Amino acid sequence: MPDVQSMVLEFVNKLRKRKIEGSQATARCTVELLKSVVSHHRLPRANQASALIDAVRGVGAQLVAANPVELAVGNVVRRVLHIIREEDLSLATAAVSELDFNGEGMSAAVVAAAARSTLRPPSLQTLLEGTTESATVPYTFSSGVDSESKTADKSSITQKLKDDVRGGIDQLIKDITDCHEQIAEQAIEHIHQNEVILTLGNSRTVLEFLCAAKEKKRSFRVFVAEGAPRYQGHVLAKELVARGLQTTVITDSAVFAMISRVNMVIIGAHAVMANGGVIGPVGVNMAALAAKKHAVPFVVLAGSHKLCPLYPHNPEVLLNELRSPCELLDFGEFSDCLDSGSPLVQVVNPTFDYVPPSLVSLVITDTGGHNPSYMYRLIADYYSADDLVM
Amino acid sequence: MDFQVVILAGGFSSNLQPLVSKEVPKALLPVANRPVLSYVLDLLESSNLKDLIVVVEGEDAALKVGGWISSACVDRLHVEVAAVAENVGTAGALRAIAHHLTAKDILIVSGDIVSDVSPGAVAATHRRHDASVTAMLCAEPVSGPSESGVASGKDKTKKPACYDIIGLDSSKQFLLHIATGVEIKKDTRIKKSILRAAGKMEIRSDLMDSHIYAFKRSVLQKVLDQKPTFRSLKEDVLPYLVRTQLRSEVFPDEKTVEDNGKNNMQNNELVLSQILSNASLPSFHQVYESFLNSRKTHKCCVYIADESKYCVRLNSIQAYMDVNRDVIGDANHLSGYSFSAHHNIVHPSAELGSKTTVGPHCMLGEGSQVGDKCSVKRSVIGRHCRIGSNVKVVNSVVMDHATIGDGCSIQGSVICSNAQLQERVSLRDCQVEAGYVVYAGGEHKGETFARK
Amino acid sequence: MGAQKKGGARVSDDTEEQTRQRLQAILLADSFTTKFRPVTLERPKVLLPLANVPMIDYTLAWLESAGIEEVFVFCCAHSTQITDYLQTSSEQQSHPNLLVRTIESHRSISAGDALRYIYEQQTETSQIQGDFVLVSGDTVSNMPLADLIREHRERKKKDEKAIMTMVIKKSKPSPMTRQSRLGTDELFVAVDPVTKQLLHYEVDHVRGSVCLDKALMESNPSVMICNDMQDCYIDVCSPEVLSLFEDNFDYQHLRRDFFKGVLGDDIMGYKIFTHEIGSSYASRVDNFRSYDTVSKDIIQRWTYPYVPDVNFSGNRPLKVGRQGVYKASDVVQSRSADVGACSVVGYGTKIGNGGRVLNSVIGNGCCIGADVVIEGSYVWDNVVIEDGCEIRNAIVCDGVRIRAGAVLQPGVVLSFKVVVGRGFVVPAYSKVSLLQQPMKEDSDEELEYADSSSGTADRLSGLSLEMESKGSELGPDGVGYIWEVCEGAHDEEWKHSVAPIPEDKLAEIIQAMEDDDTEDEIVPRKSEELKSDVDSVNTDVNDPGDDYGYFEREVEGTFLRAVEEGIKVELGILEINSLRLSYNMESADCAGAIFYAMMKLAVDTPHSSLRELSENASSIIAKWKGLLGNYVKHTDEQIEVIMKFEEMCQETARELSPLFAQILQVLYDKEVVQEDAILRWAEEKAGADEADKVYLQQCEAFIQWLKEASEEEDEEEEED
Repeated sequence: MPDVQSMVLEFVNKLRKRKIEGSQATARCTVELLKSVVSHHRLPRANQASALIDAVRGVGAQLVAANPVELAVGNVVRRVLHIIREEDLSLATAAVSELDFNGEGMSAAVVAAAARSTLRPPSLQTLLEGTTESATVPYTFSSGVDSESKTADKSSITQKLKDDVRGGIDQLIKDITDCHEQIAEQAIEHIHQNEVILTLGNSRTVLEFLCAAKEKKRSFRVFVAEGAPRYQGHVLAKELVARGLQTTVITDSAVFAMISRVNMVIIGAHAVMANGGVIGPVGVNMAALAAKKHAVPFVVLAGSHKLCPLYPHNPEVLLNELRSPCELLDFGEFSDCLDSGSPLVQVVNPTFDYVPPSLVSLVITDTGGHNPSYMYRLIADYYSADDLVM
Repeated sequence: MDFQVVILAGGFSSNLQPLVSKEVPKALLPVANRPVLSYVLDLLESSNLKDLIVVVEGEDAALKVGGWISSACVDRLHVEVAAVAENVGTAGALRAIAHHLTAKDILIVSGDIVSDVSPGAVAATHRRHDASVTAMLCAEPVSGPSESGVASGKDKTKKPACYDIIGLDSSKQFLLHIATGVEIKKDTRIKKSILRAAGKMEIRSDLMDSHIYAFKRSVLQKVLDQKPTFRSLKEDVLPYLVRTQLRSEVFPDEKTVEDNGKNNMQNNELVLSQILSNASLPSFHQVYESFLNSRKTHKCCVYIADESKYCVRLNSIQAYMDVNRDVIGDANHLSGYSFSAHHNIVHPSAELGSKTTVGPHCMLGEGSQVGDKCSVKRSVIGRHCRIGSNVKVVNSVVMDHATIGDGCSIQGSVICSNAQLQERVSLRDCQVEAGYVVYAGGEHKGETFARK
Repeated sequence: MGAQKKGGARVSDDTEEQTRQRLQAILLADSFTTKFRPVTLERPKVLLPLANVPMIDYTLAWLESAGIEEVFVFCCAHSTQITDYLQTSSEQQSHPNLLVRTIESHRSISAGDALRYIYEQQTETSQIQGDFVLVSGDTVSNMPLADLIREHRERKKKDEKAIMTMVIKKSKPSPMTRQSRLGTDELFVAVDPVTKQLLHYEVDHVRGSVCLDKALMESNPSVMICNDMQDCYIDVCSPEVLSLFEDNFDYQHLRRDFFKGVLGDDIMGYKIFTHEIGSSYASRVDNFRSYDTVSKDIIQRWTYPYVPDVNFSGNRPLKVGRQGVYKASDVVQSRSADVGACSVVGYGTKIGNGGRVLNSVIGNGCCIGADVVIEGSYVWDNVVIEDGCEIRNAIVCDGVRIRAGAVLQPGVVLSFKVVVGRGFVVPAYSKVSLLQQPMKEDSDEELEYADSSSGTADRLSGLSLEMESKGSELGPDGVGYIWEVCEGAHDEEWKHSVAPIPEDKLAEIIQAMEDDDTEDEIVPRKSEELKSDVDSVNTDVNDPGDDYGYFEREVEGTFLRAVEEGIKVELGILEINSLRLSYNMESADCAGAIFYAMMKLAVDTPHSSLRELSENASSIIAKWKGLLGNYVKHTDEQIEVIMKFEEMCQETARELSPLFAQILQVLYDKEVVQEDAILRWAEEKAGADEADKVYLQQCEAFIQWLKEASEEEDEEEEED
């Protein structure tokens, strides 16, 4: 399928050149791509599921390699893989139910759920050993199907699998697209009258969140830390003011001074790791520490596509991206130091910060607010354990 | 502030012949019936500079100038008049009066400037940068007005348009290069060494050095001593200082003696100057010094008067005409007179004949008599002039006690005091020397009447 | 996250915005210089690795992401290598949005030829539709081209004479590094501060002053001369540029010839404009020094996103660690080895015990033995460095083998497959290659290497064999020739090498600055004495108008030479005669000129008092009266001399004026001038007005004496 191939290349190239920034955009594109991959992939007769999975994985690997910093790509790929497994599983169970107690009114979904619950007791250790089971189980099932069912419904099954997967992916796309709204809906429960909110950098999610509260006739002030050196905070502040919010712009370095007047810190995450740690715009950690010091709740907003099944210590997670020093100082300042044989000055311009879970009070995803220590659980039902390592 | 002001009033300058004469030195040349010098004095007084030395070339000229000053403004200002030999040049003149100079900084003003740019500002700039020399620059004046295009054309033929080529640093505060245009035959050369130090240099040819300088006394005297051949400030001293500003040889030796003292003093001066000149970075001088130590630098600064200001030197007859026109015309705030509704000044004691019209931008001195059916346009007529009937005076200057017979027509000309025009003389772009008699019925164009 | 979304949105939409108009670029994949020899004899410059990625990839990646759709790669030297490389990279889809076409021509020996060739192509296949970006294949940049091109097009709409927009960038501010960092000659550009039009472009380190045409000054009241700019060699050109090159077949160098031509002629009135870029990076790898500088800039991430840890064009991304250390995932590094700040280590490279790597780049598949020290060096792929070697500020090309204990001193360049013998010390700044240094005659034609690389290959094989047989310049077991520096290139040597500028050279630079201070200080000095302003002096020099001026200077030159080298009078006469003929001057003129020269010499020779001066003068006259005498046979000529002298005293050499009488007497005594000449001069002068009389008055007594003398003679005659 050349078209898909080219699409993949196109996208890979974009990722490489850092053309599409922003997790949501990336996530969206990725899903779309994977969807077309799935729909174009010609399935073999025998165990389509694994074939499909391999295909998706293949593409996914390329994408991840193209921009390892953008964790959303990996997440989405895993989500898709997960969907495939789920659907395959449900189909299988359906088939089984048909076969065993033929035609007893038992919907595939229920069975699937049952099966899943049986297959995956929600505990970390079984997450790990679960790999073997879940790998084997669908195989046996589908093989059973192959052996005993007729060619007619075989084709229908393949069709069904594809359709279900596509359905699942559409669902995922929907989730990603309206994660902002999902999150914003909960704003009202978190932001109260006459509160002072501090945020850092610029995040669409945060914007929507605050505005949602504003629409609910909550009146509150917002402190925006400018988020040097890219000063995305200024952008956010502008938009907030445009939406009629009381806004104060402060320097990042003033965060600690201001924190005592703040009731809640809300930031948008770049990614949420499996241990509940958060990767956000540079400077977030400082804000978190300040919040901790003054016992101010530190709330993180993250769409479900930002949940990363990996742990920060995993070798393949590349947590940070160093950008050009020209954002800090113009080319030629310190010239003599930079020019000399061994430069005495290093200019480091990281994009992200890592906030350890201990500093995070709450993570609000589109499914609701969660304690950081609960993340692994959340992740467990978004991702299947054997996709963690791709 | 202890600024000593030196006014270089010149003597009987040659290129203003025949307007200036033994009776009327350049400094006393009437502009709108006031000596040029008075404009300068007012200007200085306006910025509260009252300690003046007027340097005049030639004894008798000095006497005349001194006489006028004592009569005019001795009460307001503390002026001393110094006479120097003729043709010693501006630098020479300063050398001659060097012993008078005591103040830390010297402000040198050419005596023939008609301007409203405050010298105080120049002085302030000078102090702010702790500069060795500060020169005032102003926009090139448009020589020769549109209406008297003929005159300007004539002027062009007389001397080519003279540019000053001036190099400024990017902050427009320092003077990096100066060359007086008439000297330049083909092209300008800018020293790379200064360019290197400054990084950028803006070369302006639309600016004019307006002969108002502030010097550090020590520096000035040093230069005058070191370079006995220097004659002119503008052509020798200033260019020399600018050239050598990165390799200064003008610092008095005693400075190096109490070096450490000087340093910290300089440092806080430096800081001060940075604060004042709100420059976040040290000026390229400091940079240069820092990386080529053992180098002394001195600063040559500029004060650029903005376009709206008026500043003309009275160094040619054309300029003289222009100044007269402007002072009672566009730049009338300089003249100090109050203008009538018709934008002209007719002294109450002046007598106008019937059907005589005095147009706008005109001036009629006290006790002047103008006959019938005359028309005066854009002209200055001095005191006690007798002007017959049917006389046309356009774009001209008629000095005191001139007599103009009936039916004369005068255009773009200067009639000096006591000159006499008999009947039906028609002059166009002529100059008539003081006391000269032009005989009746002559048709003259672009001539100069002077006794041989 | 959201923050980046904004950024992302911006980037993407302006790329779309460009793609609406078709954007083309011409990439010259040949520098048409010999700066990178000997390396470029075997591989084209654009394929040399910059932080382990071929230069051309940086350029292509940048062009692509800047929205260029089609690029014409003009290759000349090693065209096959380049085309092959581009072929493979296009197969790898490393620049999917960029249509890369190659143009080959082996006849071109300069950028000018290249553009002419493209123009000829143009006639058959009109490839270039409109404005195009002209870059060379060694440009590293991340500047956005969109607004630049827009700017250019709009200007072009308004004024169709605006055919080119060149990119300049503020260089490093320190006067030291400003011009030395890229190893290029220092650049002076004059720009109209308002319209940004380029008015003057001067790359020259010899003359002590920039010289601007007066017409320029008159035409625009304000000109900004910049010394702190660096030329990025990125130009947006309109098609006219090509035709211009076609018309003026002698244009070779883009800057030297083309700019001079365009800025020079007012007939066509074509204009070049400048565009200064602020934060974004652009630079060109012109020589080994800029290779070093640009590599460092890349490592310091100025060129983001074109940095080693980003996969911007099919390159395998490295992992960036602390202090800007980029390491491939599979590097084998012994515990005791230490990879210091600002280093890059490529894939499959092994570093043995106790190795030290500091701000150096090490390529793929290298094998570095124990206790090797590598500092500030560039080691390319598959290099074997045995134990205990020391490499400082060197460039080591592919496949080189450095045997145990060898030492590379700063500035060394080892070309491909060279073998350095055991314990051999390669002297500083030496260039080593398997190829013989090309003979002078072909080295003058400016080419990287003309014929196809196959030729070199077999030459190599043969050569290496015979190298093996006999020992080499690189120790018993070494292979390769050490090139000797061609004369004149000695200062280039340190200026262009990767080695940091040595202290003494720095001192020299400062010295140079001071010198040119003093040097053009001398001019004013003289001008103070000779009372003529520096400008006028210089402008005389390049004022074609007055022949006599030239002649005079020539004569002076000859004379001075004669004095210095103690040439015989006769020879001097010969030379001056020839001059006289060539300028067809009267002998009187010669006399004047020579005398002028003599007096000038007298004045210039250091002297404290007037007495000394007069002594100088008289001695000189005494010495050279033969020369002078040859031209003052007739009275008029003698008078001419006196006139000249007078003139000098009045204008150029005032301090002679008090000596007028004395020197005149000297002349008389030395029989250079006869008495009647003096007398006639006196008579002539008698009529003149006061001003001129001064000198006459001075030598009143002398003349009086002469008169009497003559009268006496007369009387005597009467008597007998």
